[in-house]
Amino acid sequence: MELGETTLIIALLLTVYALFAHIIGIWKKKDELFDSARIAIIGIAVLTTIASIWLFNLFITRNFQYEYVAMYSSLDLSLVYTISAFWAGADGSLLLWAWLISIYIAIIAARGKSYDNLIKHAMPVILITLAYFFYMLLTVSRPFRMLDFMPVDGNGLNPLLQDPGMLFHPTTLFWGYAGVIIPFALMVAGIYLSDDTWIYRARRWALWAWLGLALGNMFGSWWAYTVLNWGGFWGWDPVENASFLPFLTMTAFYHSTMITERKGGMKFWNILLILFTWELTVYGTLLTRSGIIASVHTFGESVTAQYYINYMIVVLAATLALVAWKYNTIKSKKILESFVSREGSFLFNNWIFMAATTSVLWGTTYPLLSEAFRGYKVMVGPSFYNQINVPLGIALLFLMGICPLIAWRKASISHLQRNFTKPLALAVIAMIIAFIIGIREFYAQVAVAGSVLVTATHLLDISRIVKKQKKIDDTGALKNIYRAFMNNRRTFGGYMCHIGILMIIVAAAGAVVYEQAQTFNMRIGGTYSLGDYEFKLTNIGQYAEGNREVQAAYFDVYKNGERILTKATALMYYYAKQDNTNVKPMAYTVGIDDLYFSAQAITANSATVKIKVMPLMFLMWLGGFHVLILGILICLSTVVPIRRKITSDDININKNIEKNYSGEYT
Amino acid sequence: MKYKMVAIWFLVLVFAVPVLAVNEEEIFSNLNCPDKEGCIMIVVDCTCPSSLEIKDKVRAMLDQGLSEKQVYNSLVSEYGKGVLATPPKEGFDWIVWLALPAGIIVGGVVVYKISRKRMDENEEFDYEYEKFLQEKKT
Repeated sequence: MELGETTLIIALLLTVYALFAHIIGIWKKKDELFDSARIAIIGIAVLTTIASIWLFNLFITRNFQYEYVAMYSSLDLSLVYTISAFWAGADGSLLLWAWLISIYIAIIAARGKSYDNLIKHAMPVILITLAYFFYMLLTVSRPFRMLDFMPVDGNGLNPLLQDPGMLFHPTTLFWGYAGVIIPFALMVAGIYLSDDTWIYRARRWALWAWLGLALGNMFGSWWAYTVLNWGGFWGWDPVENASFLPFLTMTAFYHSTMITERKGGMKFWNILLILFTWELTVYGTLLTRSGIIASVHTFGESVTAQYYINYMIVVLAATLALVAWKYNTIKSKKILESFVSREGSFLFNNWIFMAATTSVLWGTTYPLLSEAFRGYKVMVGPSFYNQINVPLGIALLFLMGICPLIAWRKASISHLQRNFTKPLALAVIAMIIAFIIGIREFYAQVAVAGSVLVTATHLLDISRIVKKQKKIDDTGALKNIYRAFMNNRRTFGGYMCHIGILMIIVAAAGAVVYEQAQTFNMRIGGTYSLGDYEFKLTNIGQYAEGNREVQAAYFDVYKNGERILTKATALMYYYAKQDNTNVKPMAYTVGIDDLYFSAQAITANSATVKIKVMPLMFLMWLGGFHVLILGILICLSTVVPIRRKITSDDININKNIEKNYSGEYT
Repeated sequence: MKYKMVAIWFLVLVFAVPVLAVNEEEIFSNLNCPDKEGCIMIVVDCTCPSSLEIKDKVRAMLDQGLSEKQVYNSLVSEYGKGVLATPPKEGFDWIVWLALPAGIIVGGVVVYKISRKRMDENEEFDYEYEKFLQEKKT
């Protein structure tokens, strides 16, 4: 028997065993059944790992008798992209998803002391899903399906996927997708047991999933910028939207849980948010992996689509039925004393995130509905999303500026004056200075005001935390900062995430508002200017590189007469296997600008090249890949709650909480 | 009440941010490349000959003084509805544009409903997460 499918069959059997062991264990209160189920769960992870390694091996050894390998690789494909071909198609992606889920639950099973009643009730939800995925992998989405013959060569990988971005974008995204199921399962168990603490138990897993989703979206954006030939970073493409939707709802959930932690409110809302997040995760996979986007009419031909839809319907119906059954046990407390309060800002924050989610979901789904009901597809392009999401983004930017300093419960006029006079004055001064130096466009002015307000309020709050630390125990400036950071990691981590998002917003505003672009027909030796820059085409080359022919136009770039860049290139790739020519855009960061080269035609002595100057783009990658991710990691590193007490500038952290409770629960 | 009014005005101002005046770039960003060979780009970013041609046509129409709507109508009659990258605000397609404000209003109603269940100013609240940590410890 074939190794991959055999391991998947045994994994499926073990999953079914673990599922029934949990159900009977709960029913008959037999603890020894959970012990054996935990061993079975670890076994599932081992088997899925073996199946995955086997698939990697099939790709590396170019075993084209396997249909999936023949579909997505070829003899001329480089080793690194042969490995990444694992997740190039729907079947491998589903295996990756199942593999990651199995590893996550094995980690939970291996940590015996946290395997309490809530986990015991949550695990069957995950096991049912995993069994369903294994069933799909063995029937309709088979990465180990074998052909009756051995092809001489495979189809090869889509040239657009032969990029480092595709090594990381799908993997990080599925790391997030797989992580979402844990909070979802804890939520279902929590409702069933009338145990509200599922929200706290889910916090770290939700953050872990959020980290994966954040990275996945950032890698997707980076890939679009450096591979697709349109010189943008976000096109509101349905595939991009599919990964963005669960990120939005998970972000809303993480903010909402802070209200629950503090006030015991928003519990019903948290349930809905996690349900939406898991449903949108599956919906995203349906959109990107079933061919439904190309046309709803191909949906009938896609076997897997129906399976995802069935799963979504069953999950939605079962969860809503459970919620209806247990509705009276969901004890959510009143949270609001005043709109002008921290609670109010979180409420508005969630409203904005949900409005953004609805708009993106609606815009992504409408073309499918239009085609299904009216026979033709009405496109919903970037203009629709921008008209709605840009104002929402601005509202969110200013909320981000208000949130750190506004008091819990109720902010008085004197509190507002004390906290916001200086940041607002700074924001106005920055706008005036920006106006004087020529930054006058509406969105640029908004970005300046918003970024100064956000930075000022965050720094002000951090300075207060450090001051309080100094009052408690003054051990010198640097040590005070260090101890304030260590005692308030969630606050500092959260603020870093805010600053990361701010950097992305500023980069987007700079790149969109002040972008300069022109297409030049260039001859070797000719010099062409755009903005402050001059571009001299110095040479044209042609060479073979792996499985492609490369045509390259080389430039020297000058600013104010001084050469600042040599051998900048605009590239075109020709893939003989697919008989396909691809433009490889190249971006170079010079000072605060990105210089973006996109060749349209390259001949022996001339080149037609679109050049863009995009200011501040470096902030997008710095903010998204470094600051935001570091912020999430800092939040993940602690179980200490957000600061307690009534007003925001109070600091009363029990240093022992982390020491005492760390690692004692999921 | 005063705070409520301030909050409502803040939101009205934010959501009423004016959409920038329509220019040729705006029109380009609302059009699909009509290339027959399956290009899926938006005209504003596309460099296919068909997109370059459509850009020239739009510029010429705007120079003649045609309104935005007339430009779209002319292009739809020439290329079909598939040329529009954004649903027109007419007929059945109004649903795309109306559904979202409706959703935002529903969200506002939910927020308002939550706000009606006010805590008493003197009400004490437990720090639930801390309670959870304490219970875990004991």
